[in-house]
Amino acid sequence: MSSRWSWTSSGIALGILNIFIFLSGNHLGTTTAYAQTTGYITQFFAPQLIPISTWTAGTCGGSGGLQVSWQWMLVVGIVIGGFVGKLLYRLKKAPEIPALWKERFGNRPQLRLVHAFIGGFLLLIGSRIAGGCTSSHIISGMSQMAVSGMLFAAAVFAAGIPTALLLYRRKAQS
Amino acid sequence: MSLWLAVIFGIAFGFIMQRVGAFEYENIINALRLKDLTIPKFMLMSVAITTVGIFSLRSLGLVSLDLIVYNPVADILGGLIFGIGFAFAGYCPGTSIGAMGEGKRDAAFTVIGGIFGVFTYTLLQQYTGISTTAFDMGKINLADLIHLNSFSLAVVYSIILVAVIFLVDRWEQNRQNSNLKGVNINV
Repeated sequence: MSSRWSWTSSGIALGILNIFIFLSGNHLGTTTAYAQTTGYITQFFAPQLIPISTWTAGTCGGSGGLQVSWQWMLVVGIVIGGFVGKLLYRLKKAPEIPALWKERFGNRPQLRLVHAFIGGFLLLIGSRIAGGCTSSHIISGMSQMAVSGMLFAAAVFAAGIPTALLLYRRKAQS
Repeated sequence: MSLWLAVIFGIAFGFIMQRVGAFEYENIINALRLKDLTIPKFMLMSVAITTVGIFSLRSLGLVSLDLIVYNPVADILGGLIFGIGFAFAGYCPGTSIGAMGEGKRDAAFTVIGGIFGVFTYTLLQQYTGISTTAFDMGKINLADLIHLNSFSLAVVYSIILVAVIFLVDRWEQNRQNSNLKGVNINV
């Protein structure tokens, strides 16, 4: 773990990177890419179920139709970035279950995947309601001193902290 | 061209998050359990830097803001649901994608769960017409609420953020020290 960067240098690096992203006329965010991907999948399997106008309206589309957008390509980059970082620092393969989770819930890989799935489901429902996620509301939004970003961040921690404490409460001694 | 730039920005963004440990389940959960606040400090640090940067460039006319609409109902409700999901997954929508790139299987399930989440939300929206738009209060930031020029406000805002980060850091270090002392006494 000594190859990790400190929060100060990483924070400064991301801060500067984000300034360049603003200069390029774009903004961080990943929720839109999720919506576009879901839109593509739905259009492929069941085009009648949800009209294409639903996907292109609101936060997910913008101008014309479903398209591979800037944010979608950003997401492709994030995948590559994670992969490159892992290769570059020769990280060993991550355990199938996070060690902390295993310590608390036991060696139950399937239950971990259920938790991960439920988590993702709620994350994106919440993101779509609020119109953004950690990247767009907090990292990008709070940098613009957006009121929505600050309120969203406060709500995330107001629910996230008790949920995590509850999940990791000490088992009653029997 | 712009799309290739997006890939490069994404790689850099993913790389930084990987280096600070934001793709690790443990680090997210321990942040929410208030045991290790590395990731929140990292996020707020980046915000403090970006704020000063973009409001300087904005006064030169080089950057324009793109705010998300302030909607107290949507922001609070969405944030609360998001927070519960955050504690279950140990990833956020962005880090699950990067962690999937690292080959973590649980992160891939968070991404798939996310796609189902969007699908469910969109179906509900489509067939029930539920919407929070009635509570939209416009694209506002602090400069709309506090009557100070936005650049000065940005500087004050960043200074306050950095002060909060360092206070939190001090608090964490003190707690760590007193824990160590406790261990010594017990031994």
